Amino acid sequence: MQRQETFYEAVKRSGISRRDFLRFCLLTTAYLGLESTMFPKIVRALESKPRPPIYWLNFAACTCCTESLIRSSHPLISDVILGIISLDYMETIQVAAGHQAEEIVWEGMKKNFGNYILAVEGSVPTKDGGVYCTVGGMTAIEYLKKASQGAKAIISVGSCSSFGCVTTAHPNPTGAKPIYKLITDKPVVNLPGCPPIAEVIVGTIVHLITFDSLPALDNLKRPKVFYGQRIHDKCYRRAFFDAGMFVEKFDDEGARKGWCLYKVGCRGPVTYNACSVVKWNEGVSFPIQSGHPCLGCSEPDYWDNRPLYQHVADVPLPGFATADDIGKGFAIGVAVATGAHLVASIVKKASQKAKEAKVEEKKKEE
Amino acid sequence: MQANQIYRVESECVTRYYVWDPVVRISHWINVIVVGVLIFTGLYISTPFYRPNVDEPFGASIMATMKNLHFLSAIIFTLNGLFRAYWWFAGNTYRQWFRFHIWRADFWKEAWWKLKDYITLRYTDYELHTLGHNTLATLTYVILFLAASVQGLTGFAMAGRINPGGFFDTLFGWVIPLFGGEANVRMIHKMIMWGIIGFMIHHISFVIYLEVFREKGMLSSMITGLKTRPLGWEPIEKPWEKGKK
Ligand code: HEM
Ligand code: SF4
Ligand code: SF4
Repeated sequence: MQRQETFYEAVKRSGISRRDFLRFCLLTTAYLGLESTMFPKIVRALESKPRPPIYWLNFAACTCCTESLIRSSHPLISDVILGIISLDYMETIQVAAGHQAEEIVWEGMKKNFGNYILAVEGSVPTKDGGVYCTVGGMTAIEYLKKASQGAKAIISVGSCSSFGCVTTAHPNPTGAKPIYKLITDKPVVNLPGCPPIAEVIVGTIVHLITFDSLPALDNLKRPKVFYGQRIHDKCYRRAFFDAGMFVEKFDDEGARKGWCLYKVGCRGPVTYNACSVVKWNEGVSFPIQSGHPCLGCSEPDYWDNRPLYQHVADVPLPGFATADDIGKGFAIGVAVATGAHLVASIVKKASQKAKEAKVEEKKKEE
Repeated sequence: MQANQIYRVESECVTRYYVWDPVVRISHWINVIVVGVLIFTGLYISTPFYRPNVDEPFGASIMATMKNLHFLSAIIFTLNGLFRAYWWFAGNTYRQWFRFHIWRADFWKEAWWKLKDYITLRYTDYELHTLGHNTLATLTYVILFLAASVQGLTGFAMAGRINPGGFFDTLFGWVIPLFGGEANVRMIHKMIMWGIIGFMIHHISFVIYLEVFREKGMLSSMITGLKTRPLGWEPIEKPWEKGKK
């Protein structure tokens, strides 16, 4: 069998210097939350281990995950990513098309059976035999089942494939499901986010290459290093939260001064992601830093926790109402009923007394 | 004093029955304080209605204080509730009144009769054991107790997520997937708070009414432990069966 090129060889071929390569390794070590002593290990692994082929499948999704990955403007990251994901198959950017592309993917999977990594973007519609999403003449379900047979691990990239996102939102007409619900016999790692951060995707892949294993996962199959903490707990506006200083409306004074966005619906307190640590676009900023509340895009079924600009979601009864409206209605209802009952009781007793008094009066008269 | 003995005090015009032992009374007033704090701080956490008059967040810590108070009261509330649950079985007087036999037809007949009795403004005093709670009230308190338990579970589950994998998260982490995610957990926590507020409105209005207008000693019984009935009052056995004949 032909020796597979290593990751380092691949990036060197595409013109990346040794220095840039090392910087990438160092950055990734840091993102993965590893000790600095792990740095040489990562360098060595990327230099010596054959680069595992990665097949990137697109199902029911908006392709924002691909965008997040390939548009990551970090010169290192973007080049390196394209090097690291040997991208034998990625519909959005591959050169091949049609039958040729399909041939490449199945040929490659056969050749690398048991060794390749499957990255899946998008959820899989399951209703009516899965007809709502077909690729290369197969339904997404068939495609996924076939492609996953020889996969070493499956990376669910983005909220659609991890938990369900816009494609699975209520009423979910296509019966779309996230990957882990369909593939249960392979290790699956969820990288939710709409889209997920490029560094998170790359970090997970580097971990796979270096240690031949997935990073430690939490109970929702997310890597703990990236999804272990709430946005809220690493948010730089937290001091304003604790102090009780809140933006009341977009464009008010607090908004200009950068106060906490809790009252305009920030979901940071219930959202697990790396945004407030890794940030976006080379660490330039992240939504909260640019004055927008967190929408909780990396949480399960986040579209159903509507509306988005409210930190407690509405109660999903017909018509959707806030817990407060229903609760206040209930409390007022109880108050009115109780009041009516009390008044009736008092009136009844009073009239009884009046009657008794009359009876007694009559007796006296007699 | 033996469990089944009824301790009564007769005065010139009323009979007083000893119903609530000191543990029940103290535990009740702890609840009053703590639930009041929980509701107030909970409402603040949910809709922070006061903004400190400062330009910088240094020195002000209103939200943090509210959260800490909420958590502290929650712990007292929980311990108090657990102790109270134990007291159902160990308590001297209360145990005697506590009858929750939902598997018996009589329980439901009695509850239904009491509901009608209550809606038609009769307020009949019947069997002796109902000096504590009548069946309808028992049912209400059990539902309240369950609601408070869910409130505690959801609360501690939310609190646990501050430190994933930590003590509270390990103990209560399972609650979150059970209710379908943290957003739902918060929503439920909030709904139950309104439920509790609804209960309180009714509860407080009626103990006052029964104290002042009916002279049953409802409110004062939580202070003295004694409930009042008219002199010469005789318990009625199974009034719901008599009604039918
Ligand atoms: C009578 C009992 C209780 C009431 C009325 C109550 C009420 C509330 C309310 C209204 C909120 C705000 C919810 C929101 O808008 O996010 C809240 C939040 C919270 N409650 Fe309670 N609660 C009670 C018991 C408990 C208990 C027993 C715990 C256990 C520790 C607890 C822990 C919490 C926590 C941690 C939060 C903060 C959630 C967040 O991060 O925003 N609560 N509570
Ligand atoms: S802006 Fe959002 S995440 Fe940041 S402190 Fe406020 S509520 Fe928490
Ligand atoms: S801040 Fe929140 S909504 Fe925005 S990208 Fe991060 S997790 Fe998603």
